[in-house]
Amino acid sequence: MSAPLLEVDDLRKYFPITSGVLRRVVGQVHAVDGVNLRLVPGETLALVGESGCGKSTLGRTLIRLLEPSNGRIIFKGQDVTHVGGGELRRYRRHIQMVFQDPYSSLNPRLSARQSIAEPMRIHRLYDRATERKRVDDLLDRVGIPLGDADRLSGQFSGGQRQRIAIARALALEPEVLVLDEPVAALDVSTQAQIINLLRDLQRDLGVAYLFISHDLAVVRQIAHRVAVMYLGKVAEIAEAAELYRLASHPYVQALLSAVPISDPALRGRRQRIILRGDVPNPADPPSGCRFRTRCWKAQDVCAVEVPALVERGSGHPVACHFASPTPELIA
Amino acid sequence: MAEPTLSVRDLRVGFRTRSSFFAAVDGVSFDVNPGETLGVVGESGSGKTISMLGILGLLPPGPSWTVEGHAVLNGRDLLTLEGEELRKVRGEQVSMIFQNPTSSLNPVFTVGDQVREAIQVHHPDASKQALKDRVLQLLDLVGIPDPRRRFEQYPHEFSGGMAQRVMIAMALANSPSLVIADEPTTALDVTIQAQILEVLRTGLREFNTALVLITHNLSLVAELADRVTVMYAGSVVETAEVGELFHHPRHPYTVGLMRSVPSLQERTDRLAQIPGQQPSPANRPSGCAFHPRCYLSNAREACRTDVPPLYPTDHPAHVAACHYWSEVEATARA
Repeated sequence: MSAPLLEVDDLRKYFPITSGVLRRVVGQVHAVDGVNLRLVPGETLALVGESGCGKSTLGRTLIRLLEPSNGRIIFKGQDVTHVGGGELRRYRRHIQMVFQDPYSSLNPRLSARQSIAEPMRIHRLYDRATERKRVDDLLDRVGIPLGDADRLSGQFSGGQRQRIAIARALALEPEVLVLDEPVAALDVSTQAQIINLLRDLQRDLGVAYLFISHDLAVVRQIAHRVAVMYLGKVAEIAEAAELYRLASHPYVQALLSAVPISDPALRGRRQRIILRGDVPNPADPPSGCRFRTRCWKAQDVCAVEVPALVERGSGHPVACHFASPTPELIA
Repeated sequence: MAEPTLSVRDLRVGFRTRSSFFAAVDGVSFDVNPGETLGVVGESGSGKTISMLGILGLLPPGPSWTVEGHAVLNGRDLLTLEGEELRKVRGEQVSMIFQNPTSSLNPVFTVGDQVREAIQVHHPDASKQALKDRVLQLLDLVGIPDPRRRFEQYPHEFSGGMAQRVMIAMALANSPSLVIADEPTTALDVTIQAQILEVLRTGLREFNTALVLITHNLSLVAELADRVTVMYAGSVVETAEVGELFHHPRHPYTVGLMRSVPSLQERTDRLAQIPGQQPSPANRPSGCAFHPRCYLSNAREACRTDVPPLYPTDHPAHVAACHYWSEVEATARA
């Protein structure tokens, strides 16, 4: 295994809950609650989970848009958890972000060319001629015709805007891209275009992706490894092919079984696990295992002991006391 | 076969701006049979939502809309009804479920009151107790735990999934013959989606209600629909029974759409993609609206000049708006 590009060690991000005119802190939302991850050069690690699981907060904390509450972020051996000023700027050159909604992440009054050139100017990387060449090259890579380079980004369709946003994120030749639901707002035919583009870019540029998504089918098409999160913690992490075949955490099994399959012949023939209830409030998570309130396997121990994310006989780490690759139903 | 519950013919929905006229929906026809689920599939801008809002007289205020054609529900043409008459039909014979449940509920009334109102409007003589019993029964049917306590709560105390259950209860409150659901699970998490689909299925069975399921999600249709209508750029491009459509598609757009759905079961080397974008109503191509993106058209004359009608195909009840529909299946297998 190559040396990690990015390492996350027991990362935590808590948001205070305030109350009253004095904004007294009355509690904490544990959005990210002790996550360990490693990202190696050129790979795609997907962070999967439902809304409120902390996947986006984790992404934002990683690129230091949010200040970590605890833990360490190590980029190429250097601790960047609390760096500021010029050091932070240097770090951000290597790790860039693409957001879900290309309608609000691009300034509609800048042209495609200006949007892509902006980060290069901020970082004062190139002279004008080089900058122009780099923008042309990026436009070409993401499939925006050069003839459209001077159109305002507001005049492009959603899919094209996402291409521009990706080009802009690549402008500084980063080694890591954090992609937060980059295809969730797009129609299915456009979504396929962007997934193919991301794969091509990775092959050509060797950039690593942290791919944040709620869509397990999209993730299957792009990720090398997958980490599934639930209420601020990683429930299971594995090589992609292994996770889809041998998911061993009950939540991950339920998640996989709930995805509709595009073949009417399979209707009613799949075992479907329908979970009870909603995700608990992250300000007041259940004791012990956070999934136990919706789990059909839960026993007394689950309320007492937080299950560690360790290998439990299925070949990859699972945070469940009763991990097993077959979802036997203890009803 | 019995009369269809809803029969839509040549529906056109357009809006006028100061300088020009745009046809958002351009000649749509389909039937919904009693108790069946018709999936209406299309990408954003295909006109699937506007069609339904046009039929029900619920188009958003703003532009001056024109709605033409016929939409016959249980023997009456909805497009000839006005004001009070239409209001009586909506909620009693046909109701609608929207994508975002929390914004469809009124924040200042309790959930119970809102479900009760949906019944009371159509049954003004019902006693208070009968109404309340009915509401509690409905909340129970859609799987809301502890309905008596939930009855008194306000929408902000409901999660998205619970609020969508309430919307389903309201839609089914008067045992309508048809429910139109517009992306009912799109805003919800996948584990909650599975719950809601289960609730919807149970509810429809209980009242033998037909469903029009509007969605961009082909997989959802594969799991829920009996028949499917595919829309593109304001028109129907294909309609067939669900198994037939998925296994023997007869329109290149349907093929493209199905191929671009990412698979959960395996990693594909390269996802098939449809080149380009769906045209807006302001600049629809001549002839077949899909021809600039179509792999079959290959600069064929007919595709550029003639608007394809919905041709009958070699399978009964399977229609496709492609001049070359008979060539499609061979390419779909490739």
